[in-house]
Amino acid sequence: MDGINRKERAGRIERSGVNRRQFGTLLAAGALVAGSGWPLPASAAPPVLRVRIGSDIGNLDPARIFQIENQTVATQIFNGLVKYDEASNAIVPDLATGWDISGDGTVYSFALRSGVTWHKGFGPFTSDDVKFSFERVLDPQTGSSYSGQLASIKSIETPSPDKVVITLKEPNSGFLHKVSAFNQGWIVSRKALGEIGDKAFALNPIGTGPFVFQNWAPGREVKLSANKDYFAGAPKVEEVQFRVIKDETAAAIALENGEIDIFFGLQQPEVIQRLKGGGQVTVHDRDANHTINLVLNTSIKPLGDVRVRQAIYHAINRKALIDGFFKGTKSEASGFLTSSFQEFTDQVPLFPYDPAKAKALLKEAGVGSFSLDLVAPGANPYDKIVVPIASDLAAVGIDAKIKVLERGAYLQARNKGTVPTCITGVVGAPDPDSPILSLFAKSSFPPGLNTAHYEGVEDLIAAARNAQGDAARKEVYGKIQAKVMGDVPVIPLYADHLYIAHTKKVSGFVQNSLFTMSAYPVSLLEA
Amino acid sequence: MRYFRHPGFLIGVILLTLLLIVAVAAPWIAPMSPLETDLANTLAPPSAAHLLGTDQFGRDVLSRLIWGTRISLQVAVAVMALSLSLGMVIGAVAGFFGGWVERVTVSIIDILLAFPGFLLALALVAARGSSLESVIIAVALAFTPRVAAVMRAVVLTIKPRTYVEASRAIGMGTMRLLFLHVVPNSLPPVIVVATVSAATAILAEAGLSFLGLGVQPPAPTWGNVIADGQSFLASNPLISLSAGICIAVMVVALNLLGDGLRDTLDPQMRRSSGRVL
Repeated sequence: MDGINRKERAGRIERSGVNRRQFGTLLAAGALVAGSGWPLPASAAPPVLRVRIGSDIGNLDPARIFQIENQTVATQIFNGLVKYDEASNAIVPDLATGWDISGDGTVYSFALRSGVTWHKGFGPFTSDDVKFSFERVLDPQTGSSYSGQLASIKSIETPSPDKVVITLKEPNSGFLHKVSAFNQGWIVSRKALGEIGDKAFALNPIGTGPFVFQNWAPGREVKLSANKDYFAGAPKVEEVQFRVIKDETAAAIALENGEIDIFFGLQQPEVIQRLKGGGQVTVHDRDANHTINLVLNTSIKPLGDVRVRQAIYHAINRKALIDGFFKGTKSEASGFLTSSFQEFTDQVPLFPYDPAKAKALLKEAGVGSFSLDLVAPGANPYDKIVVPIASDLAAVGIDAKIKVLERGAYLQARNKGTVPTCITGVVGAPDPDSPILSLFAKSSFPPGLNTAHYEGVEDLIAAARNAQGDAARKEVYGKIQAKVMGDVPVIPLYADHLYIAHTKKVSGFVQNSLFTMSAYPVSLLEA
Repeated sequence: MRYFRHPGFLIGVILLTLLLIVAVAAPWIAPMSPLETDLANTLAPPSAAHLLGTDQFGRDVLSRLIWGTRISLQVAVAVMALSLSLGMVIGAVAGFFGGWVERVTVSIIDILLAFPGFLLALALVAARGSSLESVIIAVALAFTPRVAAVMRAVVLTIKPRTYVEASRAIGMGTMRLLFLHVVPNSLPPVIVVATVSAATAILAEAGLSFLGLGVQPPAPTWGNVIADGQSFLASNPLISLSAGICIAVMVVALNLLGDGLRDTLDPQMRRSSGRVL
């Protein structure tokens, strides 16, 4: 008895020893905080905004950025010369306070905001950083997938630190889209890239935005802290944490329990219905700027025959997919552009669900039953939507085989351009050139996104570049849409619709149509 | 027949026969096509038309399970045949010839046994790409060292027996000796191991399919049905549950059969009671 007691006592002493040491550390930390003159929080912890992302980040370098999670984190860190207004999609000033376009439409002069500084003491932002950023994207050595977006630039001059003049090779009515705050439009710091290094910059980004990159715990979370010196005023939250929660049901439970504040990347129809029905949280939805398409590789038999492609279009019951599988959480698409584009037209050839007509077209093309691989990335919902499509195609005698590839393998297969079909959506800005050049221009043949190997609108693309004025643009882009949709290099399966949910604590949130979100306007109410 | 006095064995045989009948007769007894989607009728509760309801694409769950029996049995039989034949040859050669052949083989077997079988299968499938054949090959290769290890151990006990010595003394050739006396006499314990590994193979196939690395969807396998139902566990638990029950029944049946075979075939491994249930 006695022996046990003594041991216990000894244990207690040992434990209290640890406590004392911990206490000492706390004291020291407290003294440091107090000494550095930081205001100690009066009551609760500083406001931290916790956002769910569906998969981990990998590269935040604007020249090489890809995937919505990376783009969403980068949105907080970087600015562009101009940006899309979150609510209206109009192009508004960002780092540039204003701009002039020369009469012939080839010279763009931007007046830059003064007094803007880079994060983490990398000095003031100047016109040289703009020149550096765009030239870096254009440099073949960078290997940027967005160099094509800026290809119309002839030269960039910096007459003064707050003025940048960009001269184009030929007029380009959509040029402001290319320098908007997204992907290649995000401006990076010459000094930071020089010191941090080209490769390391991907996960040590330095921007001018409202939040500063702090650290990244792979597979778990990304932490950003408020940029107190942000030119538009300090953000209303101290810190943003992007937490990786893959499973949507788990994320929905975390949101309802208040473990996260914003549920980004809400996709699963059942989860959307559940969160909407629960009434505990706010669910926002908005039309995205992209459609999800089934790309048909026209260089592969028998997809080279336009009648076969039209037959496949007729065979797919897209309405059932939207109503049955997506429970109405997506919208029907008439073409590859969504109605959120100013240049959108619904005057395009349509191929409604009609299995009998599909069979007739296949017969007319002299194609009996053939086998077709449906290649999809292993990500929800793309690996799922191919299942009913395969069933629809089987009904008209096409032996559709589903090939779901893990993301890396999928990108590789698509870039090779040898896959007969694939599922692709060009996520991004309401700039019609973005999907048109990516999916249908000869310059985007694999390894670009033109897996269809389609080249039917080369002349119209050239005409579109020179079209000045809204009416002329609308006309030529309308022609492009009509021509493409008649040739069916892609079948628009549905127009994407974005959902974001947040708790009632979150106020000031504005949903954009870019498939990203900005934490800047958000504040947290006391519970 | 001594086998049929063993209740566990009997139950195992009956269950497996039933499953075999279901697998063979799948095209006739399945009420619908396992692949045909009906998006107007997704996640339907059980009804007269769909006894186990429908999944998220409106496919009949019962039909998918019935067709899934085929793939599961296919995997079980193929894995058993492959790992048995490979493992027996390797084990017999190692045990019978001894010397450096044995030392090298045993080292390789020991190294392979150190990996968890499922992990090994996972790596092999990842390397070969996912399809029914890769799953069978991967799982079979993962089980081969187990069979080989048992085979070698049994051969070692048979080699010094008098009838082997006698046959050798009257001048029987090594190969004849190996395949006429040693291999047939070491079969019983190896068959027991193989039966039990067939059960594990079915679990491995279901596990791989669930992870998306097995037989590719939309092929109806039990693992795929569980994976499809996973997102709807709260609202439609029957989808995953019914597939889980199928797997459990098949695995229990194979294990009962294995236990029965062990008790009746293998005197060394026979339990003192001789009864399982």
